[in-house]
Amino acid sequence: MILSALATFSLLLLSTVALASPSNSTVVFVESGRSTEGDRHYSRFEVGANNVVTWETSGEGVFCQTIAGHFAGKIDQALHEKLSTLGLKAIKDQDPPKKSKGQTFSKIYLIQDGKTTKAAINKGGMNFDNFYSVLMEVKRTLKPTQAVVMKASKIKDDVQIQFELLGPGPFNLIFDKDRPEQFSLPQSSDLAFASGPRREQVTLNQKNKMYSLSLKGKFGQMRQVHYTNSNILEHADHKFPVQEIALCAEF
Amino acid sequence: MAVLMPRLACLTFLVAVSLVPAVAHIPLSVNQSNIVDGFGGYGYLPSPGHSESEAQAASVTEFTCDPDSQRERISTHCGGIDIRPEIKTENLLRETMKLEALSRLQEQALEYLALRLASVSKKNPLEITRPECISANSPTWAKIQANLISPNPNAINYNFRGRLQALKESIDPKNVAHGMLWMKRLQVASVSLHCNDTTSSHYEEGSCSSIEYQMKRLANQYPVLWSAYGIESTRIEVVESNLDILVGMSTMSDKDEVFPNIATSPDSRKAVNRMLNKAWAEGRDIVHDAVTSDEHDDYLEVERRFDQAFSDGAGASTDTPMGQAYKRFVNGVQFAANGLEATTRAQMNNLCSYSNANNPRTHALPGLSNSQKISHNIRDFAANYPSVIRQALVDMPQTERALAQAVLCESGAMPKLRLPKNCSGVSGGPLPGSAAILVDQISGPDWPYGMPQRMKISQPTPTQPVEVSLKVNLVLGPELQDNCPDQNHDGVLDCLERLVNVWGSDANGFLNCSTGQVPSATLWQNMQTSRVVPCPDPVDPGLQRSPGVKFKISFQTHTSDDDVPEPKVTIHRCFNSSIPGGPSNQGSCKKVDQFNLSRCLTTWTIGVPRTVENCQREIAQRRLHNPEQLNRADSGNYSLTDSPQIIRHEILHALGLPEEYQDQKRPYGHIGEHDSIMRDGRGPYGRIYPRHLNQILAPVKCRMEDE
Repeated sequence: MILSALATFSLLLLSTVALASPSNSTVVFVESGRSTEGDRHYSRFEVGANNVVTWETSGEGVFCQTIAGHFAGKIDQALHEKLSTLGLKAIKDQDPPKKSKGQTFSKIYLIQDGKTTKAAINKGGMNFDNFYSVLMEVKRTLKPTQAVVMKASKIKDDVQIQFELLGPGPFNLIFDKDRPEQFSLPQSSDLAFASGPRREQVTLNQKNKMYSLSLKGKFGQMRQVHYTNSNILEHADHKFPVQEIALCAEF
Repeated sequence: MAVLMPRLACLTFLVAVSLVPAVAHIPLSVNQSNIVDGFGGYGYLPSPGHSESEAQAASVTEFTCDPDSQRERISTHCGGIDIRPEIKTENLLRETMKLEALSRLQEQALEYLALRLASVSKKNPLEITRPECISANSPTWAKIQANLISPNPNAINYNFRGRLQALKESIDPKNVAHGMLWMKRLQVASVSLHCNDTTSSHYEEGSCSSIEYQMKRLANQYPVLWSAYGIESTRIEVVESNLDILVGMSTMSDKDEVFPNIATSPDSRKAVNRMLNKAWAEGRDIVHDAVTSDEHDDYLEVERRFDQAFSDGAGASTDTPMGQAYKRFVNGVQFAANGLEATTRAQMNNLCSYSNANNPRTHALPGLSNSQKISHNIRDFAANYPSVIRQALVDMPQTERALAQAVLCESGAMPKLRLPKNCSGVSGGPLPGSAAILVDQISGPDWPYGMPQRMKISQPTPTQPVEVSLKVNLVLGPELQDNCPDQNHDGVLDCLERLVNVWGSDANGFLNCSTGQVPSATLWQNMQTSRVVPCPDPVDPGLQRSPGVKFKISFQTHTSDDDVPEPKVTIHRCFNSSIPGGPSNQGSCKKVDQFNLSRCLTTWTIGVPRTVENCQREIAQRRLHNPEQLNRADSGNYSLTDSPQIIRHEILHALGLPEEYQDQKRPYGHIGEHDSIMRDGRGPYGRIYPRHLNQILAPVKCRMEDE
């Protein structure tokens, strides 16, 4: 009986040790929600078992989400394990999931040997804060692979909007040539293209890194322009993959 | 002869001397956006002369089968003749008329099957044998010859290319993977909700009918996968296991290890196979975990994982395990597509059996007349080709459609074709009458999404408008709870007075303008700016019913969440949904500021790294001039500064409307028009369409007799 208790204890200890420092695990952090304007927001950060980091975002920025796309990099094994350990602790801190009405969530997944440990972040906590800090540090080291930045400037009565490629690319953009509905400016009205997109599908690549167009209308005091492609994604030819993005630029 | 037949059939029941003016049909709402059913279905693709949105076209089967409507349809088909009310419509629909309608549907099915063959067959030129029940002179056969068998670049293609593209997408490996994953999830859900046992306490009518509808739709979109079409199960298993391998491989640390000469070196092959087997076992677990999870987001994550693996695999060398996993998956789908060719030809050969009253299926049914047997065949056809029927109804001119509708009704096929409905939680009525209809359910035909729906529909007398009443409950977030009394005792908490006024005036104005109940309305662009606008003139005839539909949206405020019924929305002083940790963190102004500061300092940037000082300054400025920039709403939580235009969209959810956009969360939903408010919730452009009104009023049908 003592032996079996010892065996059980050893197993427990081993499993605890194993959980405490998961190596060769895949760490995923997903954030999904919606902005005040109704734009959907999605971010997926993954550290693979081979220490390769990928990050995909539909729009990133503090007050204005100016960049979107794919970023990548590599970290060392120590940092990988740190993220895995913090991630696991953060998972254990969270309460069981409950049905919430909001569409927003952030979630951590840890996958090891086919087994998935996961939790939605409903309680936060110190471990999660630490995990998130390390994650943001890693994010800052990543380089764009296929990404875009949106910029805007006021030129006379029009707002010029510029999309610029980040990284090697390519990055696909989609527009509705006839309607500027994918653009919006808070407190503004009667929006129309002053100089609209010449075609619906535009690829930013090393040869053509920038694409511009301009809007006219009655602009309000808030000098911010938003672009989302979610309402015209279906226009894209299926051989023209388009990532759903929601961007913002201030002018 | 085929042209004369309908006239002869119509002549047999000519009864009136004078023609009764036909009741005006509410025309289908049209737009010019040329939206395509983009994810591999056959259906709802634009027809020459007009365009349909998928969401609009999906409601093409939402017609009633009551006797008056049936008489009207037959009258329309027969040139507007009058039909006495005492004549039973089933007596009017002779076998010849049923066969005429069925023949048209068979032609549509032939087009679908021919396109499917063209998408999978490697034979060049494409070989198709015309089924004997399809006339050599039929326009459909001519189009198939001109577009598929002996392509003629000058031929009118009738959107063939769009439809062929749609069919090709249904055997695209990535689409097939998504279809398979989603079907697995639906199957798991169907079992857990006891959808095959309506007496079970776990049974949920709304969810189960939505799941069943999605399964049927998916099975029609991805015929390559489903044994309902006679594909051997081994082919499906090959696709499934290779999908598991690809997912599993994505989590392995040595996925990119190079094994030179895999094809020729037994050692390399052995090592890679060992890795693939391991990947298969692990991938199977990962997929199983995701499709069985209660959390829908876990399922979405496995789709993402698959997408990433697919993309990585496509770019990987075949000397690596990742490259090998990808190759196996793509080959597996091709293997299944090869099986589809044989099945499709068999279906084509069987097509004429539907118009044969004595085919083996009906032969065994004793005591039925030929006409009844044809009805039985039509029901079978509807079960096997629902998307074909929908597309046919979209494509047909009015008189032909009228006959098809009448025949589908009479044959009892409509239950197989209807959109899912949910009558649980509906009480009261019928209307018009003194008892209002009360709705208290989870709405929406797009499981697992659905919105708590609590509303009232009333119409005391036939001449009064139908009134749709909805009360939205506004609950104070934690930071407003102690700071928001009702000092003027008007029943509305003071800090929410303005919001209630703005949201109420905008929502009611927008809706009642749309249905022609008011001549003008005060609409709000944001919390500060409003303008009085005249309502559209003319109102969309499909929205202007007689006696009309009126909306009464009201708001009730509550200091706390306790026992507040749905629909409810929490209003915060500050709210940022990006803050992890739930509403208590997200609705704290201090945490919102901290979060914004942290993001300002740490977020990926191409500019000069920011400092605490300039971030704090920026936050303070925005809090003063544009506080809404510091906030981020979600569907259950708003701040005091949020625009009323988003609320319109949420209110329409509470009235029973589903989303009409597609994204990863709703890959198989129905897409609406560009300016459908359910497709694009923000911005001033969104409008409602007649089908939206029909969906809102659907509970009224729950209280009518079943067809």
